[in-house]
Amino acid sequence: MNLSRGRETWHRALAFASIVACYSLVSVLFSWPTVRLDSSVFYTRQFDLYGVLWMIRHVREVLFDGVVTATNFPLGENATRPDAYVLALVALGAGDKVSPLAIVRLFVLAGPVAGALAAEHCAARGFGVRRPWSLLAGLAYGFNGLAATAWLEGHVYFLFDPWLPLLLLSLVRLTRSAAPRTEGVKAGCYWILALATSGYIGIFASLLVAIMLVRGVIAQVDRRRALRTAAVPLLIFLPFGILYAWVFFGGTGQVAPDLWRASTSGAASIARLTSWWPGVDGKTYHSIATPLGFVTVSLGAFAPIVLARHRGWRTLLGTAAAAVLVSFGPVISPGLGAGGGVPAPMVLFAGTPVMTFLHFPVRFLWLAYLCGGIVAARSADEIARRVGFLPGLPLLAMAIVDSIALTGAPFRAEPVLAGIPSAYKAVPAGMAVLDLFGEQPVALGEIGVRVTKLTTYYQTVHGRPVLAAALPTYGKNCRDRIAARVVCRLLDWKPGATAGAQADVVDLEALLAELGIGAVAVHSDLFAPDDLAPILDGLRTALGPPAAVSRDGGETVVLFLVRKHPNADPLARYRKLLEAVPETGSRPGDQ
Amino acid sequence: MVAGRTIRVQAAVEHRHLPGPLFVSVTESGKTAQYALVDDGSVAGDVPMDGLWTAVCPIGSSRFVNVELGVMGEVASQSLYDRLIPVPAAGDASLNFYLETSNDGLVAHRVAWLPASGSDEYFGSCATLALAFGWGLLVLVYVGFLVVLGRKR
Repeated sequence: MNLSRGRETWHRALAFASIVACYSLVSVLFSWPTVRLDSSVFYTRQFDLYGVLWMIRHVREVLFDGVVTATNFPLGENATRPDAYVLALVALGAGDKVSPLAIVRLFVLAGPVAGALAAEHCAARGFGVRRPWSLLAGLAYGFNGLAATAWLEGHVYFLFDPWLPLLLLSLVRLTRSAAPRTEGVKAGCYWILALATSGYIGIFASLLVAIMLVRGVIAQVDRRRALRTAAVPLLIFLPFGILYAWVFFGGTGQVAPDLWRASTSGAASIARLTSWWPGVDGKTYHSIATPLGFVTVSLGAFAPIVLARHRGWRTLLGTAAAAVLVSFGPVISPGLGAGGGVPAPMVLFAGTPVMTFLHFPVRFLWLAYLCGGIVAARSADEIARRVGFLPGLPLLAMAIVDSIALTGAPFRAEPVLAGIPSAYKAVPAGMAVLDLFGEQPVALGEIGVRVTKLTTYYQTVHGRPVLAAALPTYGKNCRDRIAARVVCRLLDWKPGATAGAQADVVDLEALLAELGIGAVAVHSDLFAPDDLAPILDGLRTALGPPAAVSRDGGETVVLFLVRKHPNADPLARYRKLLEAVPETGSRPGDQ
Repeated sequence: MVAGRTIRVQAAVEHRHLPGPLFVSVTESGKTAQYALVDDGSVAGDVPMDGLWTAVCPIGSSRFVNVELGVMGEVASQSLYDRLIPVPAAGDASLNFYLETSNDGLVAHRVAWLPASGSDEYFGSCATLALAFGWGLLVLVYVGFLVVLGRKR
């Protein structure tokens, strides 16, 4: 008896290890070449990762103060809506000894594996799918287009989300009459963890709870008992949900200036649901290619025939289909910039405050990947029952091709230099740095936002306060406002300029000191050559010769030190400066 | 990690539409170097006379370089594109343009890739998606085959 139990345990452990090995191998391919752990570079495509690295570095201030004083100096950066609490808690636990890049690599490599294992577990235990067909559910949920998007755009906290599948499993068990009492507590905890992963995941978890409980109440004979069961996760979740809402609505975040445009650029399209293509990462801030996977779609399409005599898949298929429909945002568009399209259900909310919080409707596909993947796995299992193991086996290989080739994740990642310009070392500790990089970010377009966020990444390494802000994509920050005024003075100046322009440059050091700025870093690669010469000449006149010039870290940086002692109250001077020289073109969300 | 990087600049335009030689100026760390785009097969990977003009420009270690694409005229050169672009820290970058003739002369559209002369990015993207749909059809047929096989047994 004991011998057979021991053997069974051994077999289970072996099966689990095989699944972990399989998903780990897919993860290595999916996120290639992250696994090389090359400390000189990291891999991404857009610029959101810089904000995530900033949050990891300043996690204590983000969680406990809501303001980070090291960026957007002298105002400080508003961090009252951190959203990614799970990532924040991991960063807090890891402490200062673990580099932010190591935490990001952990999420990129291990996150999808955790999600895939949870989805596989949910399919096997919750819906009776036999192995290896349950692996299909894990492949669909862990290694999909949204996971590739999260990695390539940089919001890697979405990658570690085993909570939705675990929540679904608990909900399925809860709606059965023989569910243990602890299942409700588990469901409540998974619901909380989903919300703590990201607000979007929390919304999907809430929808999942609503759908599964309505289905459970309808299906059960004893409805009073079903409602009593439903109350347990709700009671567990509610205090955290209220606290989250209080923090979220009490804080302020950025609002897209054009909600319609934002919600359509963050929405699915027919092309995006099919595959990636070479232009998908090119021209916008996004890297959204979210193929549904042809194995999932094909097995889902045949589910009404294959699973006709079975129960428990219609709700999942309906949820997946609804999630795909919502992911289109206000318009079902063909994509590729072809224009046209037909109105989608979300058009009812377009331009309303709802879209302020849901202007990435494409993220609803997390529900589609989970529910669709489980239906696909059930269909594959049923097909294999009828035709045998071997004819069904190519489906697993095809699903891996879907995960790697259709998302194109490993072909789209670009290496980014991890090192930073060494000129920053010349800045005395604690002194604020004003980074100058050409024109205003609004005029520079995407490059401006990218460089702004890059300098806040530099800040996480060199440790001196900077005037750029890490989080906002829209609006202006302290750097933009001060740099605009400094650059104007410098461009007006030249030998033989008017007395006023000369005085402006001579007074520049006093102004910078009053604003609490200890150094000016000129990113000379980013200036037009005609502008660079007067700016460097003006700074030499005002501040003396450069304290350092570096050509490493991927940029040429010319660093000038402010010799006067910085003001103890730079904030008052900053406000006075803005009042004295008003600026037009400010938008909501400007700081 | 950054040694030996290049930017491969390609422009698709038929020979008869080109008013003069194409050139690209790459500015990095304040230094500008100019390269001619050729379609004579002298650059590695270039097919002679296919309407895809190519220049391979060596770059240093910068995260950003400024790229200007222009065409030489009889009197003055015309700038078709002039922008700062981010470049990856390792490997070679590519920059592709589809050149269109208009009343104002040539107009350059930056595109993600150029599958062939005379074809724009839209065609290229559709070709990729058509390939994906082909794969999807294969998967669908295979699953359908299994379903039919299962019903017969």
